[in-house]
Amino acid sequence: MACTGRLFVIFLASFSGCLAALDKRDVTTEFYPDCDEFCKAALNQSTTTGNFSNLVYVRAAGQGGNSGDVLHYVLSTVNVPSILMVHTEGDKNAKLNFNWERLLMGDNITDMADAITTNTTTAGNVRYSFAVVFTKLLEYDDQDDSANVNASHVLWNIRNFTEFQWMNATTGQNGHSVIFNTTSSQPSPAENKTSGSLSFEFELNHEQGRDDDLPRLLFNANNTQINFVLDKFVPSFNKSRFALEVVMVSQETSDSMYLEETKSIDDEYSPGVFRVVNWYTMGSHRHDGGYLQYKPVCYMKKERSRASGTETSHYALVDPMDFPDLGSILNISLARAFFGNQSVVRQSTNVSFGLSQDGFYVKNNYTAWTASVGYGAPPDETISLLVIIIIAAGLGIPVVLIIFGGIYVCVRKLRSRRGYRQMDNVADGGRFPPIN
Amino acid sequence: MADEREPLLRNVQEDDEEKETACGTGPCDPKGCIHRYFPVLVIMCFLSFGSYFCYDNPAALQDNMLRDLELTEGQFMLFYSLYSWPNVILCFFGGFLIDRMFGVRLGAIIFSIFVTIGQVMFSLGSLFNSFTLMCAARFVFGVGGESLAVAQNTYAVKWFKGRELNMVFGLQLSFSRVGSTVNMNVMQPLYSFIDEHVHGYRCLGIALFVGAGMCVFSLLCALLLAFLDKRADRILQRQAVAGEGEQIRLLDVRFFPLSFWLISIICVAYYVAVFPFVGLGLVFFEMKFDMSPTQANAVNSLVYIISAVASPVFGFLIDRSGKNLFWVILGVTVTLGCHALLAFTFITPYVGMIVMGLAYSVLASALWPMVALIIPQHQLGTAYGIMQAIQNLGLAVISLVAGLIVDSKGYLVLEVFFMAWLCSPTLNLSAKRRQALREAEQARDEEEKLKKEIESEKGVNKVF
Repeated sequence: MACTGRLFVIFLASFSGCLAALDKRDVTTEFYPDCDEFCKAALNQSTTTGNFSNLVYVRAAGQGGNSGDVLHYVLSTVNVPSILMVHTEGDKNAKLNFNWERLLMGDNITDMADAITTNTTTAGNVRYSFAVVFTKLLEYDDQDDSANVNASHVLWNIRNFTEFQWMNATTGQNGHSVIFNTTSSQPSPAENKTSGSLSFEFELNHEQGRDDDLPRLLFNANNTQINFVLDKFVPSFNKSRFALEVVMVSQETSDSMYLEETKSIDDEYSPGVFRVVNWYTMGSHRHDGGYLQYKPVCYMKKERSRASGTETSHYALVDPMDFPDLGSILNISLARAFFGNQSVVRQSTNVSFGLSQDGFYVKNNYTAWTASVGYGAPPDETISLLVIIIIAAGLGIPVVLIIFGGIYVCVRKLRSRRGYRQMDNVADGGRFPPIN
Repeated sequence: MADEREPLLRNVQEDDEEKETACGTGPCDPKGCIHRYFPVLVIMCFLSFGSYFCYDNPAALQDNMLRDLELTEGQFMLFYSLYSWPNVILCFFGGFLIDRMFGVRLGAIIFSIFVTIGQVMFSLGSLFNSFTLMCAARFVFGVGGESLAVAQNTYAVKWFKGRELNMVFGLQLSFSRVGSTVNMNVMQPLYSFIDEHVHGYRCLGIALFVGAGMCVFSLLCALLLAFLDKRADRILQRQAVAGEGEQIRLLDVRFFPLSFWLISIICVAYYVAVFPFVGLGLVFFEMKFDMSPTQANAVNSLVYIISAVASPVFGFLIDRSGKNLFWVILGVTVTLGCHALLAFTFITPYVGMIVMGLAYSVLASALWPMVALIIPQHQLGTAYGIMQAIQNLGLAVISLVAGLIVDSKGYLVLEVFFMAWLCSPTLNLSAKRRQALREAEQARDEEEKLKKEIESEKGVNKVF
C-alpha cells in the first residue's frame, strides 16, 4: 500500500520534473574560460607557488530543438570550493562571461560582484540560478563518541576553505569528471606530516543513469555528482571527526529553502542505506529550483562497500548571515561573483561524517562522501522490477501454494469426515452420532 | 519445579516398573525423581558450558586479538570457519561414534577432552604468538564442540524421554546462550585486569587460559555424569544406549524415516533464516531504524537473550500440551511474520525481534525432541549428529550467500530470501507428510498419558 503510494508520487514527480529539465544534453568543458592577460599572469604565478585558482566552465546545452535550454556550471576553487549553476532559456548562444581581474580581485578591486555575467541581454532568459559553497572543514575531538557536530566538544580545529591551497585541476573518469585536489602544503597543526589530501570531484553527465560506485546515486543530464574525499588527512586529535559546512545561495524567490529526509524500505542500490536527504532551494516548488541530494552514508575505505560505510548526519538549516565570518567567506565566493548585490536566499548547514562506535576518522584515515547538485526534480529511487519479481517469486509462490494446499486439505478432510459419518449411520442403524 | 510435582510423579522406567519406588528419596538415589533434576540435569547443562563459553572467545576479544596478534579480518574469521566447516561432516561421525563405539558416556568424555585440549592449544598459541597453532587449536576444539552437543542431546533423551524432554532441551538451549553471554561480558574486563600486569599477546593467552578452565570444569561434569549414568544403569538395571543389543551401521542411515529428514530440513531452513540475519542485523537496525549502535546491538541480541529465558518455560509448557508439530508450525509462521514486519514496515524492530525470540524459543524446544519420537534410542546419536551436520552446512553456506546478497542487493532482498526459506518448512509439511509425524506424536502423547495415570495411581497407593 505504502509502496504504491510512493510509486505514484514518484511518477508525478518525474513527470512534472520533465517540464523543467531535459533528458539529454551536449556537454562542453572549458578550463580557465575567457583567460585574459590578468588570468595568464595569475596562472604563471600559480605554477611557481603551486596554488591554483581553478575555474572550470561547463556548458550543457539541450539537443536539437531544445538547444536554447542551457545549463551553465561553474566549478571553482577561487577562494573556496564552490559550484554555480545557471539555467538559461531561449538563447542557444547563451554563455557566461568571466572577468578575471574582478574574480581574482586585482589591485584596485575590493568586491567580486559581477565577475561572472551572462551574455544574454534580456534578464528573463536566466530562468534560475543558485550556488553551492563549501565554506569550512570542521574537525572536532569527539570524546563522547556522539558523532554529533552540534554537541559540545572542547577541542576544535576549524579550517576555512580559504586557507587551503589547490593544485591545478585534473580530469578523471575518461574526461567525464573534474578533480580539485589540495596541495600537500595545506595548513595543519602537525606541519611535518601533511601527506594527506582533500579533494572534490565533479562528475558531469549528459544523460541519465546510475553511478557505478556506492552509494550508486541516480544522475541525469541536469545534475553533477560531487565526490568529497579526505584521504590520509592528518587528524588533529585521537578521536577526530570531520564535518563540512555547506551554504546554498539562490536567486530571490518568494520561496524558502527546505531540507528533508525521506525513507524507503528498499535499499537495493545502496545496501544498508534506506534514506535520502534532499535540500531544495525552493521548498514549495521542488521541481523548479535547485537541490543538493545525498544518501546519508560515507565510506571509510577507498573500496566502498556496505562494511566500510558509516553514516552522515544532517542538521537544521540556519541563516549564514547570522555568522559574520561565514558572511565574509560568502563575499569572496562564486555566489558573490555572480549574484553581486542582487537579493538572494541563503541557508547553511553542516554535514557531519561518522556514526558513534565506527572507530572515528583515524580508524582508516579516509572518508568519502557523495552528493549531487542539480536543477529541476531530484532523481527519485523506485523499487526496481527485479526486486518486485524477487518478492513475487520468493514470497508469492509459496504463499499461494500454502493457501491452495490448505484449502485442498480442508476440503479433503470435510469429504472424508462425511464419508465416515455415512458409514457410522449404516452401522448404527440410521442414528446420527455427534460430530466432533 | 521438582517439588511441585513430587506427590504425583515418580521415576518410572519403561521396562522395569516394578523396580520403582516413591519419589522424594533424595538427590543421591537414582530411583527418586529429585536425582534426575539434581544433580543430573544441572550437570548435564554445564556439560557444554565450557565449549559455548570458549566458542565465542574470539568475538569477545576481537579488537584485542586483531591488535595483539596483528591479525587481518580474514585471519580472524578463519578462527570461526575452522570451527564450523569441518563440523559439516565431523559431528555426523561424532554422533555415529557415540552410537556405535563409545556410548554416550565415553563419547561425552572424549569430546570434552578434545574441547579442553583445543582451548589449551588456543591459549598456548596466543601465548607464543603462533597463528598456525591457534588455527590448529580451533580445529581440534571444533572436533569436540559440536559432537559434545550431540552427546548432550543423547544424554537428555536417555534421562528425560517421555517426561520433560522439551523443557530439558529448552534448558540446554538456554544454557548455551548463558555460556556465550557470560563470555561476552566477562572476557573484556578480564583482559583489562590482566593487562595491568602482562601486556600484548601474553595477556591474551592468559585470558584464554581462563576459558580453558571452563572447559576443564565441563570435562569434570562429563566425568561425573558418566559416573552417575553408569550408577543409574546399574541400580535401575537400564540397558545401556550402546554396546549391547542392536548396533547401528553407517548405512542404516538410509532407513531413517522420511519424517526425520523432514525435521532436519525444517531445522536448517529455520535456523538459516534466523542466525545469518542476526549476524547481519547491526547495520540494518542502525540504518533503517535510525538507532544508535548501542540500541542496535541491544535489539540484535534480543533473540539470544529471550531464548535464554523463554525456552525452558516454553519447553515446560509444550511438555504439558504435547502437539510438538503444532508448535513448530506456529514458530515458523510467527517468525515469517516478524521478518515481514522488519522488511516491509518501519515499525520499531523491538516488536519484530522480541516476537522472533519467543518464536525461536518455541520452535527450538519443540523441534529437537521430535527426533526422539521417531528414531529408536540406539540410533539417536547418529540422528542428532546428522541434524547438527546439516544445520552446520546450512548455516555456513547461507551465511556466505546472505553476505553476498546484502552486499549486492541490499537488506530488502535479503529479507525476502530469508522469508522464502521460512516458507519452505510450511510447504514441506504438506498434509500427507504431516501424517507420519502426527502419528508418532499421538503415540507419544498417549504413552505419556498412560504413564501419568499409572504414576498417579501408584502415588495414591503410596499415600494411603
